[in-house]
Amino acid sequence: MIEVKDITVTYPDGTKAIDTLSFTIRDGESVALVGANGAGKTTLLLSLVGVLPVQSGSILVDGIELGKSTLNEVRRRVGMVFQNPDDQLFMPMIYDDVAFGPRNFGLSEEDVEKRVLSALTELGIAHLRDRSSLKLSGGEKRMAAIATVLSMEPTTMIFDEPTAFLDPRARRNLIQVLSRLPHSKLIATHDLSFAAEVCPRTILIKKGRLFADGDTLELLRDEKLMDDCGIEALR
Amino acid sequence: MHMADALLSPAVGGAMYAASGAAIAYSAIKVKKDELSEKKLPIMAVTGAFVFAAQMINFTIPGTGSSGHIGGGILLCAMLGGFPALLSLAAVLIIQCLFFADGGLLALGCNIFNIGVLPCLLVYPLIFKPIVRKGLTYKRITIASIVSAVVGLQLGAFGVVLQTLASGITQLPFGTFAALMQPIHLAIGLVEGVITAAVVCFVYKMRPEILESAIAGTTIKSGVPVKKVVAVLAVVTVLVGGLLSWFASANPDGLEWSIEKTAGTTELESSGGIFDSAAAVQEATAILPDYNFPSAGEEGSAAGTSVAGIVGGAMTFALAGATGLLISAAKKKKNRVESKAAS
Amino acid sequence: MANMQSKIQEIYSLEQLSGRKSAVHDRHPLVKLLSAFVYIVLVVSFGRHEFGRLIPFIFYPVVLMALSETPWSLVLRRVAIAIPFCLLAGISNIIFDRAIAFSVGGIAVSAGVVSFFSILFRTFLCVTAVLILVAVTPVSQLSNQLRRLRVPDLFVTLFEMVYRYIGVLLDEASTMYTAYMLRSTEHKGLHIRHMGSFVGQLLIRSYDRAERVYNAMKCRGYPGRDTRKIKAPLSGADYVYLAATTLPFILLRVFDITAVFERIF
Repeated sequence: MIEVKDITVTYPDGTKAIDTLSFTIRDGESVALVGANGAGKTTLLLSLVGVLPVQSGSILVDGIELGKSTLNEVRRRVGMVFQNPDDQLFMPMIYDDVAFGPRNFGLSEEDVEKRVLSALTELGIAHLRDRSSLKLSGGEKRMAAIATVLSMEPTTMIFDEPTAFLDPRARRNLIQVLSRLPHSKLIATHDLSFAAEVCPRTILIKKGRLFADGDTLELLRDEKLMDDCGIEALR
Repeated sequence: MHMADALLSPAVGGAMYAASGAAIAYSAIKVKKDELSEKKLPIMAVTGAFVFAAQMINFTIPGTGSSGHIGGGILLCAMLGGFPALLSLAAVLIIQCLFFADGGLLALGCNIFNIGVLPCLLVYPLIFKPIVRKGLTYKRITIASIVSAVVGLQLGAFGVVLQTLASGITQLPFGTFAALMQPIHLAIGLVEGVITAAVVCFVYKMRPEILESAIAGTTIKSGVPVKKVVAVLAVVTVLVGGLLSWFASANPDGLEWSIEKTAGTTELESSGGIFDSAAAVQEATAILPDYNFPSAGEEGSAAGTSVAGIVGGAMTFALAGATGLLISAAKKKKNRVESKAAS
Repeated sequence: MANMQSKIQEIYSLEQLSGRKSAVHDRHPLVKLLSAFVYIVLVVSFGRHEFGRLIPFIFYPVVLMALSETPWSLVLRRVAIAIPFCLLAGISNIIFDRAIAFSVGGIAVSAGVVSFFSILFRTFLCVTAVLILVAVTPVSQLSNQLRRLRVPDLFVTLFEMVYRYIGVLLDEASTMYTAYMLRSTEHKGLHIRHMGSFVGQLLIRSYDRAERVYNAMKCRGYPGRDTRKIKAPLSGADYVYLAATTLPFILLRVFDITAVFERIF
């Protein structure tokens, strides 16, 4: 469960990237985060994992307040999948990438191996364990990136444009996988039909402020609302 | 100017491994002490990969029609600071050695020393940093880059010369070898310096904070005292000097032998042309005619290769070839059987 | 540029090769590493004029290449890269070392020529030994072994990450270059006056990527308590491999086998 209360995040030059934003994600909920470029989606995601500091307001993850001393605990519970898989796969072999998180938690090698295999199998890419990310397809890389986070056994998973770099088939596979995962999810995306398929609820943001929060289809099909946000409505 | 195994003796190779290993260990400690070291790791890694890629970028030199590429050592120092740059360069060199046959495995110690330790731990702190210490300006960056690149490459090339000669596998005399290596690397150094300057200036224009943090990061540790650097220099001098004198004293005959060559009194019919001019070159560049180093492992004379030896050699090759073919054939058969069983 | 793509291909081919199984692949990385090292040291320790004694050393690459099913085509490419410097030194030996070594059917062969071939041959042997090492040892196996050998973890992880990102950076540089070439009137590569901004742009992008990678690492607990000590005991087969690939050559180094041939003929 994630509770965001009136958070404000400012850029180094003083402008507000996020302005007094509040929302709650309940256990098991899948929520889409929609907004024009520069609206603050990535900034919001990065602040949820404590990478970007929050100037005011609070973030509670499973009841734990995000702060300097609780960073590790929060990052165990909230797993972020980055937009570009190449930024997230930095080890020679997929196995080592997926093992990176559990190893940093100090788990024994046996436990690490269990977690890695479980994550890879869950996503259908167990055969990639000894491969490197060189010459993997966009879809395979995407799954591998998700695996690197899944192996940490988080309660919530957040995604930054997960359908970027995917061809139609890989995109379909992603939709199936995400629909299957029981975790709470927050998915920043431009791909509105993807959002409609995977997330019953959508949060619209504009210039760092909450614009709307409600049923996905209702919101995304509201032409006036979407136009105000700078996005094309869903047909 | 990567060293090759074939020109190296184990003694020299081992000594350089020790020197480079010590430098890497020292740098690793230094980097870890820096409080931002965790952030440095991905930056060291990606910029290391960048240097590798940058070395593939060929540019044309106008007027000569030839192409060249940069090495990247000083550039890396400007971006990361001396100690992190050494670690990155060492990683790149190891990868080049193992996966691309650029430099031999035994010669790795030499290469890390010539291409990494000398620019990063000597040239960068003693030349580059002092020039930009007063503040970053385009002019100072340019001067620092060019001077550092030239000196760094000169030192590195000279390192290759010394290491090759100390190994004694090749018979190229010191003077000739140096006369070949140094001027070439002077030209390379100038070009590299100019390009490094252009790149660093570009980065300074676009993202000055990157450079500022690199310079600041390294001057905060002004506790890296001149003492340490001098100690390194001393070790280098002792190593080189020690090797030099060891070989020179062990082979007093070297002198007569090389004089005989220079005078051209050989037993072979010289086919004029190239042999004469080579001898002339040697005379002209005989700066240190006393310092030719015959190999220390000279017990095996070329006498092992008499006619009988050649026959024996041919037989050995044939035997080896046959062995290889037999093994391959056996494997192919096994693979065929296995795939048949699987299907 | 073509050579960028070929580098990526080279990495990829080696990855595929090292991922397979064979009597050699399955050995412990420590003995694979030691074996290559000892071999190279032995080869290189021969005197400048010794060629005959080096010949039996060919068994090492021939047998191991066959057992590991490593293709010889890779060797040729690597030797071609290593050769130029050695040719220079070797040819200089021909020029400067003209004592006669021996005669064959009336033709005198100088010691310089012998050492030329010796240098070429040992280049070939050393290059092949390294190729075999990387063709049978995956990178992460190698890096875990380095950790066991107490190489600082910072450096080993750095090595792994540099390796990983070389492909990415080459791709990026290659794309940038194609875009450049499509807009430039010269056809012979980057003009030197553009080097500053081209390379600078690539460098800034690398820096930004590094920031994102750092964020990704932090999200997964870095720096954490990575107390990994991946144990790997040595098996009997490993000792056998080590002995088989080093002892014969140590003996060949110590005893002069060409003397044996002389006596036979």
